Amino acid sequence: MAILSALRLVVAAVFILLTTAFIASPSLYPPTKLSHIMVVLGSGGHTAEMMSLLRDINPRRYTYRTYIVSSGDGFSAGKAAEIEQMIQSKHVQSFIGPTKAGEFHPITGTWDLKIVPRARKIHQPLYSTPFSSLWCLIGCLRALHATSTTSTIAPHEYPDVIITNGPATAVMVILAATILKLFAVAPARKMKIIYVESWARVKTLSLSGKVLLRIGICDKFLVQWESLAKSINGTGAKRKVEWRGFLVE
Amino acid sequence: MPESSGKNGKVMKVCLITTGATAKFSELIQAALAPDCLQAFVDNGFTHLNFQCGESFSSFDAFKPADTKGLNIQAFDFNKSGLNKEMRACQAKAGISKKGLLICHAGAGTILDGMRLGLALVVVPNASLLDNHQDELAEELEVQGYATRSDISGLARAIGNACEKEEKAWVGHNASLAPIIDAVVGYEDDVRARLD
Repeated sequence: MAILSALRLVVAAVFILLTTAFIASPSLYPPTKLSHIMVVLGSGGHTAEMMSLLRDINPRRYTYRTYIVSSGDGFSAGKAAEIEQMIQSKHVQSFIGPTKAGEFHPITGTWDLKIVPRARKIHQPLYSTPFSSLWCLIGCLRALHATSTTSTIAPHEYPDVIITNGPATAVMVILAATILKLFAVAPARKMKIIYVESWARVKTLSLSGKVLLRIGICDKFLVQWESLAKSINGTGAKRKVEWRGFLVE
Repeated sequence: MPESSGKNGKVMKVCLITTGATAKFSELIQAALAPDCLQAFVDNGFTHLNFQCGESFSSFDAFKPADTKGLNIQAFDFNKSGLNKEMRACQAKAGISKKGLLICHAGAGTILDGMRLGLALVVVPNASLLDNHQDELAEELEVQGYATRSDISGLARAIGNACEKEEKAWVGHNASLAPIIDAVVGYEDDVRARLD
């Protein structure tokens, strides 16, 4: 009996949280001038492509930029600084070099790097993947929360938008963001999710892409080849993915 | 790196053959060093061949022929700082070099780098990777006129084809992600609200 009533309490609590999560997303979101962008970096190819995707980012608008990399990926960690170099150099006259993580610049704002555990190491036995994935998910939840507490946009604000192009870590970060929104820890208007399928994907989606499209939690799902968009959208009225041309350069 | 030219007044024409850094692709090196391919290079005016061998570096010497048909052939395993310098050597520069060629495995990063620099491109998917999305990329790039797709056995013909054909320019007609992000974040609404 006690278990049953406890269960009822939990269900009620979840129900209240769920409903308030959606009520708590006012359409009158006060327009803000400054935003926080979060970028999920992955292995070599994904990260190199991300650099091209972010070429026009305005650091005066996105004054706080957080890069997520998985542990042991020194290449991507180094690339974050390179991406910053590219973004900052376009907006600062007599540019001497990018700011270091955590530093503040009056024009380009600030950026930082967060490291999360790997969802699956190369050659890791399959049976242990659920555990390492869960560990990664917890790491992502913590990273997102830590990001909000140190926000330079406004105290305790979560990132406005999360950009990714498909490494395995991205699925975990996006799941973590969705969980935080679902349980109203983060407002629903925050952490909008933009997924850009890799340019290398011509006829089929990557595994991350397939998973994310199936769950349907992305606010914007872009593919870079028209043939791919056509084969996914079919002739139905509802477009599942968007095609705007090549987004890499 | 091919030695800098102009020394003996001869204009260079460089072909960079890259197998990628991570997977073994000795077949590509072997094919490019075979007599029919070397002849194709000579027929199309090439002076220098530069091989990036990656994991296959050890097999380069075994494949290198005694008769190079006058071609200057060099090889290296990989360059930590990327292939940018080697790729630029394939670009056309007045008085120094003619427009060269990039022969590569179907890695998206390498292909993009080559297209940004406006190089002629032959893409040879690595069949041993069992990764058919690379082959799909090569196929589609050929259909759309950005590159020449080839397999190992057809490489000699592909070299000629790639040098003759006028490839579609890559740079300049690509969409930007930044405005899409702005729209999702709500900057457009923001601007509209202020105008109203």
